[in-house]
Amino acid sequence: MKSFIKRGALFSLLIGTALSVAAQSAHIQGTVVDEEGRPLPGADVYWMGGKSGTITDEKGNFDLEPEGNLRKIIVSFIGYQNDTLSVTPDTHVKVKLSSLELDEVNVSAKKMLYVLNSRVDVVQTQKMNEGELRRAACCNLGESFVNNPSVDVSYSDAATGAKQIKLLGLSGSYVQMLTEKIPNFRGLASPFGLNFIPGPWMESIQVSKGIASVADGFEALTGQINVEYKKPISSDQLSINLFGSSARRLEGNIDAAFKINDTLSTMLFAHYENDTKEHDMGGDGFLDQPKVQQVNLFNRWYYRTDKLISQVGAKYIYEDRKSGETKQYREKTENPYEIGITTHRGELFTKNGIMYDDKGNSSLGIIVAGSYHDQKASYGRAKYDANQGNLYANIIYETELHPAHAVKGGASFNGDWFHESIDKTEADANEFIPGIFAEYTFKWQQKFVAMVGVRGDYHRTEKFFVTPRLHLKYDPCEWVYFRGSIGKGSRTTRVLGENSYLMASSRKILIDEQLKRESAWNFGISANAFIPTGKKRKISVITEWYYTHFTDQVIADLDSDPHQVHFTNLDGRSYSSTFQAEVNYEFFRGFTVTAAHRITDVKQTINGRLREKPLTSRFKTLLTVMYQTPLKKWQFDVTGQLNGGGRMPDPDPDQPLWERRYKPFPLLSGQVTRRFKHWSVYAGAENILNFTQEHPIIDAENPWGEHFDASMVWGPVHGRKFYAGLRWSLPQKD
Amino acid sequence: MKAIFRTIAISALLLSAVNVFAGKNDKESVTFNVAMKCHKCQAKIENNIAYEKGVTDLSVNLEEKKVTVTYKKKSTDVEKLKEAFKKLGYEVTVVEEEKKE
Repeated sequence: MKSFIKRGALFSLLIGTALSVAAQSAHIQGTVVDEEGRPLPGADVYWMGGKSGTITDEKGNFDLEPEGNLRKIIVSFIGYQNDTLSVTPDTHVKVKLSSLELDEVNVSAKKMLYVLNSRVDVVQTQKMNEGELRRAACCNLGESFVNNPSVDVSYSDAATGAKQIKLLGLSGSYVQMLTEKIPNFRGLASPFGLNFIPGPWMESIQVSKGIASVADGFEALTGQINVEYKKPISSDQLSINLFGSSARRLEGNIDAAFKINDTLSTMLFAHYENDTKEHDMGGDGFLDQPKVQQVNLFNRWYYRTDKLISQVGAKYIYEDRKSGETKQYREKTENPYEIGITTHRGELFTKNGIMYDDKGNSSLGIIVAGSYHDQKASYGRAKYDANQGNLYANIIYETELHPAHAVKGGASFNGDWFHESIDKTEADANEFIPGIFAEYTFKWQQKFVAMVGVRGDYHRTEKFFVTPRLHLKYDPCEWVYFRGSIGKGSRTTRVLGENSYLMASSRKILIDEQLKRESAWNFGISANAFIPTGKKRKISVITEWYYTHFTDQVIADLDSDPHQVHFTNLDGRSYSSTFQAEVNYEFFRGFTVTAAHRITDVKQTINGRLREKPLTSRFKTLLTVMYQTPLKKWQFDVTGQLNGGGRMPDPDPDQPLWERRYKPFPLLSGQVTRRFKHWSVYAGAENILNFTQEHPIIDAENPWGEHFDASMVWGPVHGRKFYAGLRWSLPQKD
Repeated sequence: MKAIFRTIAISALLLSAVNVFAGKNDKESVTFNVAMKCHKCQAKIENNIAYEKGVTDLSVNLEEKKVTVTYKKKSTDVEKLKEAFKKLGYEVTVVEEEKKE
């Protein structure tokens, strides 16, 4: 959202007033700066629809000769948002580009920018762009983090295919998921939300760690993951992607952009996937992965004038997943164990940015989004049907009083209508939270930034609650900079909706009444350093430490009784502490290596004892190697991971059916891409070492017995897989 | 696992070495003055000239408005490359080499 508003501000383009200069020539002169007012050398300035253009000099200045009757110029710079503005001859313009994605590695068009660590943003943010997303099979959002050291994606259980994302060692419900900076996939949609965004639709993903800006709400305890879909103004006219894997998963994606006129454009997206072949490599009689069919449709509109940017989008998802015993077993028994989950989901959003002063220093952003999620599920004999409606609105006013002082303020509303029925027992839980917020940003000489924010929200049971947050950034010199953040976050848990996969077990689900809203303090520090190793190359090193301290938490106690899961309020301490170091280096032209290591320490008080959180890996080591040939026609990617061991929930002491701990396990994947002018082909393999968790489903032979449990998953459930795909695109005409 | 990474790294290294040294004699480089204005133009040139027959390497210098193309003498020549630039909408001239050093 922050970027949306900022973008809005800069879309207004004209920052300095148009000054009339002595009318000697009809040249357009101007200066291009970043958000912090620093000049941007090397930015492109050219006539829209014309042939000529120029580049800004060392001080960010340009002098553009007139061309015909053209009156609109485009200002662009790699890693920044493009800007288009109307100009009158003989004027001086000041253009401020949105610098959210400033590349700290090396701003150079020679290099395809894959991962950008924003140097300007006060919140630690890493942007993965299309190039990065294409380094792996990347069929959907959940599969996009193979090369990312910070984000872990694992299966929640061995039957439903539900996935959870982990950031700072904590589960996905503490990470705020956003699409186009709008909170999405909350509650009921969270177990499968990662499957609801097809890879080829994404333009970029931003992962930010630690507490977020108060403008985005009170959630986001450990960080944010934002997905930007492709935009009609910057996308190819038509793109097609086809994918197939050795597990006979087939996917087709198509998107098309239409420019209706100068101000209006639209884009259509369609996705179909079919993964309906049965696999049982483990031989336990259960499908290794569910059979899935998904239809996903999205249409977005983009409207823009000098004073207004308006976006509207509508999305529909249908998904059917079936799992449980294989056909062979289903035929043998009268009473087969089957899992079926059918989902319909609709989303609508509109984002509007209004600039109502000529200088573009003030803007108003209005976001309204709604979604409806309907899920019908059966796990053996247990039925869980639920639906959730959501309405979200956020109004943000932003103004820059002075280059050193900026203020943001606004009001938000979040409403959830939640209805669930478990074996015909109906329950409703509606929640409406209105809130207000204010945020102040102070900048000192481009070296120091402080952003302090506070919000107040009203909740039915908690009444008025306050969320304070503080971010600091210190940028003393070119080769190093530091960040620090501290703040509070809170959220309401939808126990069954978010943990519905636990129904794929015979564990009794016990939920205490009067569960409190969860809340935590998050604290983080990080340092980014660049060590020169010669004339051009630098080793980039990022080190960080994040600590999350829960004041209220809903604990899933899987330990006290191996035949039950008990959701209860935290009584005692609960924390997560993670330390991560990441090193990036281009050894020689085209050959880049990233190595990262993370130590995770997550403990919570379970039944009176402070214990390691079960099914959470103690460490993760990641090594990715990429090589591109000089003309970038060939690309080779290899990624290896070692995920550290961890604790299992306590097994039955009299009849232990699983170990007390699991050992570290490796994952290796690779891909080869061959690019042609308008298309590319890729082929690769996942889990090359073919390492899988043995017996991921406990007592699979007796799904109706008391020991059956598909949720004791810590490692890969599927073995080695090969895949291949094709991408074709028709570029936009100039 | 280390062994695997090492193998991959070494093969990638070899591969690039092969690219550099194979048939060095029948390759030639030429630098053109190209009136390109922006990074978008640069991307357009990179995405198209790279796929011209015979082209083995490409380096674009936007600030100096120069493009250096390395090509196989057997497969293409300066005139053909000029033609390729023309198709993209750029009239180019060859930068005369300064043989001082």
